[in-house]
Amino acid sequence: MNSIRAVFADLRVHPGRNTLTALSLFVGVLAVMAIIVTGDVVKEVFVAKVEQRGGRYQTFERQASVPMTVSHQDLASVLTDLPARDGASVGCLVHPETHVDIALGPQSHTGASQGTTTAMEVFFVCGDYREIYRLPLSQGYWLTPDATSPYEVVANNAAAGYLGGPGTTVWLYSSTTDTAFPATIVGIVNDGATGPRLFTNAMAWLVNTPQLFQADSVTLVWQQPGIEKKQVQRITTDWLVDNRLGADGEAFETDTVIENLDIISLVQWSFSAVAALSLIVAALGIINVGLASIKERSRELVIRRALGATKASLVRMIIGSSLVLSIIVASISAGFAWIALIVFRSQLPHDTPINPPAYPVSAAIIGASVSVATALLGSIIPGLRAAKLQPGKVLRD
Amino acid sequence: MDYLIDASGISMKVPLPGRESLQVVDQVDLRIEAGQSYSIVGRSGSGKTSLLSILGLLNADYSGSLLMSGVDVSSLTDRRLSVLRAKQIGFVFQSYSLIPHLTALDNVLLPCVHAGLRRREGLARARQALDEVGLGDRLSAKPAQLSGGEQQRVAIARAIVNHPQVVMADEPTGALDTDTGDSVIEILMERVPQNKIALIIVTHDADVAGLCSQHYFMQRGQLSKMGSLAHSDHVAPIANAEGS
Ligand SMILES: Nc1ncnc2c1ncn2[C@@H]1O[C@H](COP(=O)(O)OP(=O)(O)OP(=O)(O)O)[C@@H](O)[C@H]1O
Ligand SMILES: [Mg+2]
Repeated sequence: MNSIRAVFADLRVHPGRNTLTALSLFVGVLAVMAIIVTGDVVKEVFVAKVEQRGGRYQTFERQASVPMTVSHQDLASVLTDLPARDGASVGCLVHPETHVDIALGPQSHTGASQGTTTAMEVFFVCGDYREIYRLPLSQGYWLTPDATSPYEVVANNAAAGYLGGPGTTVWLYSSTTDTAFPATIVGIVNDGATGPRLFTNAMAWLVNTPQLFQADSVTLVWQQPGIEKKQVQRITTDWLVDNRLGADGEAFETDTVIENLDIISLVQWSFSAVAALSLIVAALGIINVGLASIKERSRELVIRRALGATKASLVRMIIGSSLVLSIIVASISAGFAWIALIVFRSQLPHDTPINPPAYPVSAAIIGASVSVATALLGSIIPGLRAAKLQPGKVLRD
Repeated sequence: MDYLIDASGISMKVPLPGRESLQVVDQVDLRIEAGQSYSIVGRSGSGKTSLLSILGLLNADYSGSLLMSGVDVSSLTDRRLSVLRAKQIGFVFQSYSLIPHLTALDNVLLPCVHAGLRRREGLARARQALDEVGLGDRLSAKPAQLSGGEQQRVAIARAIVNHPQVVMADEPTGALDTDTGDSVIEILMERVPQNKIALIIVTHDADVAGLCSQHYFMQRGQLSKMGSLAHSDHVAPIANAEGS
């Protein structure tokens, strides 16, 4: 009890200096956490951008032609029964032979060329398409998987800018049709693309409106971390052959982030090294102050010795006060970082493709350990010096 | 019965750079009993403070035998020595040696803290000790806000706060005017019969020495007992020199 009191009394001796010490540790610890979180966010943004385009790690695509002998009905039933495997997400895209375009009214393709349409890409998707590519919704909902559902489209931000938000009716047409077919925008996604895009359920069109387009080919998308290309090749070939689809193509891995991640981690590491250096500089400053203060305080410590303080109690007081300070600083920095992170997360747009940064537990632990280690290093030598002071010195000064 | 302090053949040398070492304390024998007061006089540099620092367990660089209440202090650990310093010995230093950033009360509280007393108990004792030296109304003053005499009284309060068996005062009146000096000495003197303490006073002042029951004279590290102060020719010239 007495030593705890002594520790706090000791901290009050030099409030200004202790505040500065605390501040420099606080800044150092926060810098480490901030840099680590920033690195995580930058990496996450990069990964998200890449994965919005190429699918989550690891994604393979396999192109397969649709022979004339396969009817749209057949194709639809084939696509409802995509190959499944534990740990794998499988999706597909159906490619029309002719370009499908969009209008805001029920014009035919001839009427539509009068400035009411924009060149939009329409993606006829099925399966786990949305899970493979990072497509966070900002409004509405994603396509209902059921083939009998009403025609639904989901717009990306650019397309929604032209067409309007959920509830807007748009018209799909192609050069092979005289009429356009209505669909309703049900959601808006952030797909990372700048050009306008619409996503719609391939099955609904194949089953209900086969006249909109002739299916030319499908792309099977296979996402499964750790799988090898030749496994994907084998599984997809079996499935394509079974379902009478063209199986002469080859599976290939989409652009992945993995090679670039090395560079990102390198950058992250060097950032951390800079942060660590700043922490070390702060630590050296604190140790220096600790050493200097002992010279200045030796008079007081000698008096305490002469009045019956044991060596151990002085060492406890000196190391203890600096330890307590560092623990307070570490807790405050950790709490501050936690609040800052909550604020940061709340500022993220809700259709962000990135996963919100997690609390940097490792950085907090490193920061706290460094600040405690600094406190120890900064006070052990002064503490030992204090223990060496001869009480008899009180008589000569 | 054991003496409070039983010192025999105490010597201390200090090494001087490039020269022969200096014999600061030379074969001192001294026995201290409860309820007695001792004066030590001697020229400046004769070794009075050095001797006191040995008797007060502040200095372990001596030879000879030192017993406290029959216990050989050379066998004691730092912890035991510290406890003795905190509980059994009260020291009034030649310089006041107050801690500048602590209040009068906290300065007086220090020996209680280091003796491991409960804070409530320590505070009560410290207040009482400051009351006894007439500073009951200056508890929260810092040393810099006190006069020299007041600081000296704080130092005395600190020396007596733990009711030690021996109080050693190194020129407690050296820097004070006669009246203030007298009141300071009075505070110490009345504890000798009252609390059965032993009081050792190092002084240049013949009047102060005259209040003690036993008188010693120190010269070049050697301590000799004087029968009576009146017949001594040692003190007067020093006292005169101080006065002039
Ligand atoms: N640690 C030390 N280093 C060097 N010299 C010392 C040391 N301790 C004592 N001396 C010397 O020993 C002598 C005695 O010192 P001491 O302080 O005991 O004298 P004193 O009798 O108390 O003198 P004063 O009346 O002036 O206080 C002095 O010459 C002093 O310089
Ligand atoms: Mg002296």
